[in-house]
Amino acid sequence: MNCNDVNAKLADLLLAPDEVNAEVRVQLDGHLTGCAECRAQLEELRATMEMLDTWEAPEPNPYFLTRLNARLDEERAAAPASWYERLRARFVYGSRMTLRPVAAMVMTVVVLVGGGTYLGLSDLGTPKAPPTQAAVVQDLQTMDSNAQLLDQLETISNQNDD
Amino acid sequence: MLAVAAGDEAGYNYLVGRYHRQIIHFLFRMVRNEAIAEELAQEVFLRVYRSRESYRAEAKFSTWLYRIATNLAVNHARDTKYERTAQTLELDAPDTESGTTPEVADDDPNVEQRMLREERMAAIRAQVAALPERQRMAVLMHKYQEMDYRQIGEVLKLSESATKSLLFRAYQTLRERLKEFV
Repeated sequence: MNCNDVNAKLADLLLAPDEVNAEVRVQLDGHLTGCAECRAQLEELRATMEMLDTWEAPEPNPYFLTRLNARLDEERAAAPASWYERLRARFVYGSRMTLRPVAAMVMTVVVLVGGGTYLGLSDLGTPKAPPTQAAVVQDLQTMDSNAQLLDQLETISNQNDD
Repeated sequence: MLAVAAGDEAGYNYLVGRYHRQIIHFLFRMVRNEAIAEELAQEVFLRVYRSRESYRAEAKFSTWLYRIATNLAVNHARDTKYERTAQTLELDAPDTESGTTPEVADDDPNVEQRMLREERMAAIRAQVAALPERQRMAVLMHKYQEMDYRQIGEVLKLSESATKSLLFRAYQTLRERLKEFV
């Protein structure tokens, strides 16, 4: 293990030492024993984190809860939160999971509307050509109308003969 | 908290009792002013009360609580960005940051040690405040609220690896800038 490998593992060693694999831990310890620079870096980081402990926060005002309760009483007397405020709270303070059903709905709508529009528009693009009839059909139609004509002529001539 | 969402007021009072001190401490280190920290903390718990019906069991209550707190702290920083000026030191007034009264030098041989300690404290406060916002919030949650990096990631809506990187970068920066005091 070299210094670069140790650097990559330093965050884990510092922030989640219990999660470092035992084998990796042995290698890390091995390198740290021999490398003053890496050892110094780790020790300085630990010392810095320890020094931060000296920053103490003052004790809260003893009337904090009293004041909060007074404000809560006002809150209870006031109107409840609007549907908009509640929805906003869900999205701002909720996890990303709350967006999943909305995302699914939006995607469905986009696919349906977008897909439908695309298909509709692609139809409009090309003008509809008149359906071409097969030549055979045309010939049969001609023969059929000719046959009708001949029938009519025959009927007229028979009437004349009578 | 689910009981509170369903209308259990005693449950709400229990949660306030349990969490108000740590929220005040977190906000104090974020805004570095006691009065403002308490005002913001009041607002945090009011928002918890107002949006109690929005609470879902997909997150721990403390995660949800810290999301509200970080949100308010960020809004406060944004709203007061141009108001922050250097604080003038009044010798008789307690320091708004530490709550202690600054003392004038006397013949006490420990005065030098005390001055060094105060200098170190001022440096810690200044260097933590100088960190980028998310790094600062991550360090405060990790170091002082003793949250693990996973929960910090949930609060800040970051992946686990991103949170670890963020925290590590923050500590590296603090190591560099506070070297002379260690």
